[in-house]
Amino acid sequence: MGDGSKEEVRSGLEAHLARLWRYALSLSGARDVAEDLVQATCLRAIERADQFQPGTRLDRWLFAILRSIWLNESRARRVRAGQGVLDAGEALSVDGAHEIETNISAAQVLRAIGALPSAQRETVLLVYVEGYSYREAAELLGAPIGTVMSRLAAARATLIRMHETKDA
Amino acid sequence: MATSDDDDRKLTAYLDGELDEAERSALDPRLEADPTLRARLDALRAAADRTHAAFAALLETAPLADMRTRLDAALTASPARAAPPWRRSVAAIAAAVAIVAFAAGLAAGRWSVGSGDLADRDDWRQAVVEYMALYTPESFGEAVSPQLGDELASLSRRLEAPLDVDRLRADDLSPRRAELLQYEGAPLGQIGYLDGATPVAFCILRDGEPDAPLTTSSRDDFAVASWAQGGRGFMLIGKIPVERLTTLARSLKEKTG
Repeated sequence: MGDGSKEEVRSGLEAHLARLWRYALSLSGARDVAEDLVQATCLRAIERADQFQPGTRLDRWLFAILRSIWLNESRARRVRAGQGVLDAGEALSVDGAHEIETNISAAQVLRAIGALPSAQRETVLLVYVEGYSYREAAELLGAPIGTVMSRLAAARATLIRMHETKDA
Repeated sequence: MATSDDDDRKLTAYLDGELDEAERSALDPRLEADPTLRARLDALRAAADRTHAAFAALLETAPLADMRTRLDAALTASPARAAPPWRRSVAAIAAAVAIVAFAAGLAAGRWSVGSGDLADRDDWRQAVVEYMALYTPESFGEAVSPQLGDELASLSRRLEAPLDVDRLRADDLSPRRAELLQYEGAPLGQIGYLDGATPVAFCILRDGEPDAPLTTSSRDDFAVASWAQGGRGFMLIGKIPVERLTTLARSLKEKTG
């Protein structure tokens, strides 16, 4: 605790910016929102740096902060508007894919990922990209391990179907 | 599809190394014997492999330079050694959250149909409601800001409205701190009070809003009073009874109008 943990957080933040942004984009579906979400996460991490446990993973701590800010945000918005959250799937395909022209197949897959239900998309990112175990993902998501497994299986099945449709 | 959802779940956990020993031993001979199941396993594996590659490509497009600049600014604004000033960090978060809320609202607007003008005029008030949710009694709880006079003078200039401790006394409450935020480029002043231990904020946005009478409502557990006068929108907000908030709002409206 104290100065050690503070210094670890302050000096460690930069290395995780890109991955935090990718997570924020998966959640929010919009690049400008993702960037602001990362900034809000950094601010809160700096402010609460003395709560970070040295020796544990800084990236996981930051992911949890980012997720909690996003949840509070989207909850407030749903209450206000009485409408669903924005369609992150649409946005991910539009905003995420357009800069990846050099990589056509990545763009196609991103579009398919963007079309997944948001809970599946988030779980896929955490487990298949960020390397969370089922148990770690369940903890972060506040969901049972069985739910994590079902989301991943459903996401894989959908991605197979989309891949087949594209080839047909 | 020749395999079931339950098989998909088992195969997925198998691929992810998340099946326990007993389940794996049960699955192995089935895979050996059943070509359909094996084909399904291969297809499921390929699906996740493609995902991994696509997300890796996405990483390349992250706006790193922008984010580094903003991070540096945040680190400079909050030095490591000095005890972090609560007020400043809360204000910074509040501003950032307001921006997120605003940007998200914009993004959502792209897919929503026919949001009215009324909603637009109220957006900044909703942003305030959202960041108020982050405040704790400690946010306004320390002593009255020693720079309160300067803070109010600066707010007066930016909002082009005379604001001082006397004018900002609401019933029996006195202002404790004042700060300047912004919403959509317009200056947003916020004056903090404590009613008992409960944070109450008085916000003023100079945005050319047409005059509107004082109305009260409750949003997300907050009591909110809103009015507009002289090209400025006003808002008083706190988790206190609506009647109490109305009394405070009337007193402020009379003196700052």
